[in-house]
Amino acid sequence: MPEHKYLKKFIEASPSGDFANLRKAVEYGRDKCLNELEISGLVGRGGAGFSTAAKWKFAWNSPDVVLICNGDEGEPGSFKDRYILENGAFLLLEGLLISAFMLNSSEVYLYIRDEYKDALEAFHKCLDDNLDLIVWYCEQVNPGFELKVVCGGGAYVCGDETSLINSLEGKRPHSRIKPPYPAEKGLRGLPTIVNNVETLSNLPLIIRDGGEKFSSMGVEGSRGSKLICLSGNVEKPGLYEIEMGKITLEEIIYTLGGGCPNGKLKFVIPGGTSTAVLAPDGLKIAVDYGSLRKAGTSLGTGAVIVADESVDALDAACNAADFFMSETCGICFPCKEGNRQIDHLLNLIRQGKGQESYLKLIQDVALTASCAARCGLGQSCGNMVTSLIDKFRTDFVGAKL
Amino acid sequence: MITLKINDKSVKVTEGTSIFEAAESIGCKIPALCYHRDLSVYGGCRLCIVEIKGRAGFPISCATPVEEGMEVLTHTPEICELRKNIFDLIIAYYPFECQLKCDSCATNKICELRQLAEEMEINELKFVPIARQGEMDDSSLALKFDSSRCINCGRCVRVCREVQHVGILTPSRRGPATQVSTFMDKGMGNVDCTGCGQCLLVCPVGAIQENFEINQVLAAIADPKKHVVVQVAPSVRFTIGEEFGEKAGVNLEKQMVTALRKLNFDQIFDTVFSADLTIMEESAEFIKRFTEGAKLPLISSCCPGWIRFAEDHLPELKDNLSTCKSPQQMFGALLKSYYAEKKGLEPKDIVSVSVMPCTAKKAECMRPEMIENGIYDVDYVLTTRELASMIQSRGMHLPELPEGKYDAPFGITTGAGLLFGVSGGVMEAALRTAYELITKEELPKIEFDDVRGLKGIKSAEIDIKGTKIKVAVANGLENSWQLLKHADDYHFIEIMACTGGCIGGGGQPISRDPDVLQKRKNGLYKDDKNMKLRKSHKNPAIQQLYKEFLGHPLSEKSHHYLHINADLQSPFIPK
Ligand SMILES: Cc1cc2nc3c(=O)[nH]c(=O)nc-3n(C[C@H](O)[C@H](O)[C@H](O)COP(=O)(O)O)c2cc1C
Ligand code: SF4
Ligand code: SF4
Ligand code: SF4
Ligand code: SF4
Repeated sequence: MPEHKYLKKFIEASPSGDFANLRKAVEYGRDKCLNELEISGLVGRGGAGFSTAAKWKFAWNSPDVVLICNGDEGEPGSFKDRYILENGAFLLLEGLLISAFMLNSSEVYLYIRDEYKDALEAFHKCLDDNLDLIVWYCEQVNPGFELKVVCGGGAYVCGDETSLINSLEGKRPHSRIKPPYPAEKGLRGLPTIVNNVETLSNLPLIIRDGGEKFSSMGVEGSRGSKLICLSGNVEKPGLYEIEMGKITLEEIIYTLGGGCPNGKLKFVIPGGTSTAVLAPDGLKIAVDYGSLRKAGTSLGTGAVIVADESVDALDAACNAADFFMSETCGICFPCKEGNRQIDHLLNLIRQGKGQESYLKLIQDVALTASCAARCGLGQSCGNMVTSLIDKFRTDFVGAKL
Repeated sequence: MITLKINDKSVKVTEGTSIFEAAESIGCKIPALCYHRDLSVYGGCRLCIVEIKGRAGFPISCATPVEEGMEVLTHTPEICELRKNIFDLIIAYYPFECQLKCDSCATNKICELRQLAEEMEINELKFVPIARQGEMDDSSLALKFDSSRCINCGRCVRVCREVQHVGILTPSRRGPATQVSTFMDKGMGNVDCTGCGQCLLVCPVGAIQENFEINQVLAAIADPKKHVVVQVAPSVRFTIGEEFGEKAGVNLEKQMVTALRKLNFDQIFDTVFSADLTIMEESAEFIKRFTEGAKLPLISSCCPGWIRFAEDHLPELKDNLSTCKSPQQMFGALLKSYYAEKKGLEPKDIVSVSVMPCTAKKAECMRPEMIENGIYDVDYVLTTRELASMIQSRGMHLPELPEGKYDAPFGITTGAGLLFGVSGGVMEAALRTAYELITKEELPKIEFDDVRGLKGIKSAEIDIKGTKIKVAVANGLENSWQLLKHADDYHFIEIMACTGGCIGGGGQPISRDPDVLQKRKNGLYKDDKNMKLRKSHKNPAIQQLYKEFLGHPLSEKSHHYLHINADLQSPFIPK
């Protein structure tokens, strides 16, 4: 675990506190809290960047809302949720309690991936340390409140909210057909709100400072700060907290990360393996949801992976293809068979048995999956591979074909 | 009602209809593989994607309900291209011998991949084929499952769970290795599979098939020392024509007898005869239980799929099951006893073959209680499809064959026995006989309309001269499960495992016609009406059999040959 570098908001807000923010939220009442949340402009940090207030409003008037905090963090290169769990568990706990209060939800889950043993322990310790406060919460604020901490079985697809719900129900973790969205019909058919660990950890800050102040940070559509997981060929890998829209990818890599230690930068994966790579000439780009989307890629989970010239684009593509092929849930044909085909074609190319026409085939598969696959995994599985082919065709064609 | 536009054509459908069904209703066929009208929506194949004006992306039409004013496009060039790609990807990971070389493929007749390739005008495959390994699950006596052919459409999983309340099939393994299997890969023969074959009927690619026994039958016929006898179940004559392009429900009994003769079977009998016999025994059993105040309801036992289900899921109803063997097994038992004696043959030299609409019967004939001193009541069971393919491989076209006649001494049959082929039929046949045996008067109206039809659960109250008898009928095991929660409300219950009864059996021709069961059923009832004899106890051949051999219903001899005396729950013994 690389130590944190530029973390500001999260640590500041995370003394082993007295639930001041929670108390304040209770004082406000749920409607005023929602108002603050709306003003804050908070969007989900789990990858899609969907407005949190908008999501909650779908279930705002339903009784028996289930709240699930998504700590599956399966995206390669992402370790921000783990950091929060291990070092800022109190912040998450308070965020969870505020959210549960706001949503009138007494059934709350924290879903942590099985590999995160330390995170699990840290969160449990936090619960133990704050038992009195939790008892107070259960008695005074949210009677019937129950928090269940659940460990996933380790499949990447369990991070997808509908697959996660299936997994919680003890079913095979494959995505559900949407609509109905979980906010309408989720766990056991109940309205269910799923939010990322980082998303919910922002709630205490929004209550403490007010939505106005929160939204003064960042840019339209990307308010507040964002945790960036910087890894790969950089001098100073680690977790950084940035103000969205106010810093470029280049600055993150060079100013914060110290640049590539041995050799020149070749490409950057801006948001995890399900996002398209950027070449060096594309790095002068503000890091926020909108700007990256406009550049044909995505901020995703904020997992910035840097590759220098020692990295072969074909190898990287094979790696990604193998990942998606292995992690498909196996239910829909374009993803299951598509990833198998991409993996097969890339391996043929690597073994020198390829043809240039295979590159077009890979693009066809990726397009098919992106249009027709059932969930985000399949829809985004081709992003990295096809962008590598676009930008580094010679790595594919050159020696191998 | 909701009005929408599909490809610029205005469509009016009820609320809740999917776009897929709305399109179908105006003859616009959207390709699909995992969709099945009788099953829940799966959303796996993604072939049925469409475009909806004002909506991003390509929603799947099977899972998207219609909305007022919606404008849907189903076959834009872009969609067609995506569909072709998806389809091509399926074929790329299909057994090497496929690659759409359909002419040499054994399952080409039923294969929906082939049909789709034609519909989608696929004449060239662009993706690179990937070697694939699969296993053959041949643990079941009824069915075999070739996982290398399975495309994971989930239809079998859903039919087994949703229609049959069995649920032994499930996706297993992880990610790219996902495949349909049984608990811990034990195999269909080692879990609670009923053998009903409903999974086989819905499989779009023939990955599940019956255990073929054609070769064993041909070998027996070729063996001069063997006397090979065949019996044909009631419903087969109404369905076998479909394999030759005939309409469903057309009775080809006489042509079929000729075909069987040409196939060199030594004797050809009609299971309808032993169905009449079953009615004699079962109605006697009912009257006895009813008058003696013994355990009721009496539940029919002629469907082996149901028996197997009862053993696994409803053991508490064990004592309610009729002890009668199924007509197939009764006939088999007679062949190896009464018939052997009459003909001066050794039972071991008789090979008893039956042609059934049913895959479960392939396992039924191997049950220990159906074997005496190593002699099987029935040695081999062929499905309707197997017989059709035997006929075809001799170059015969069934509908054009001359008419033939069943052999004596079992040659006379009744409409009552014929009704065994359809849900409600056993009940109606039994009531026709029970009524007259109890009242000693002629039945005023022979048809019992309340127990007819394709509804999953039917019930009726029958007035037998002041005595009210409550009867119920279910077809499909989920329906049966639901009905039997209230078993105590009834005196007499008929259960058939397959949808519609044996006309929808797992051994029947595979049809994608939504009305096929209706047509088969209508054909059957029409012929009952045209029969000279319509009550089992009026069958002179049956009367003679009792006189010559059995004595009377429920006699000691009847019990020995025609009833199950052993405890159920016994494991199958492989041959
Ligand atoms: C394949 C796949 C994996 C995902 N993995 C995660 C994950 O590990 N953590 C997460 O918070 N969201 C993940 N998501 C996104 C969730 O489905 C969901 O959108 C998110 O948890 C919502 O939270 P948010 O609105 O706070 O971002 C994943 C989505 C897909 C399709
Ligand atoms: S896209 Fe992939 S992971 Fe998602 S439902 Fe389809 S097969 Fe499963
Ligand atoms: S034969 Fe019947 S019980 Fe067995 S798997 Fe198929 S549908 Fe299920
Ligand atoms: S066996 Fe047939 S019905 Fe079952 S999943 Fe495979 S292809 Fe579909
Ligand atoms: S209903 Fe008929 S075809 Fe189906 S299992 Fe029972 S006996 Fe066999």
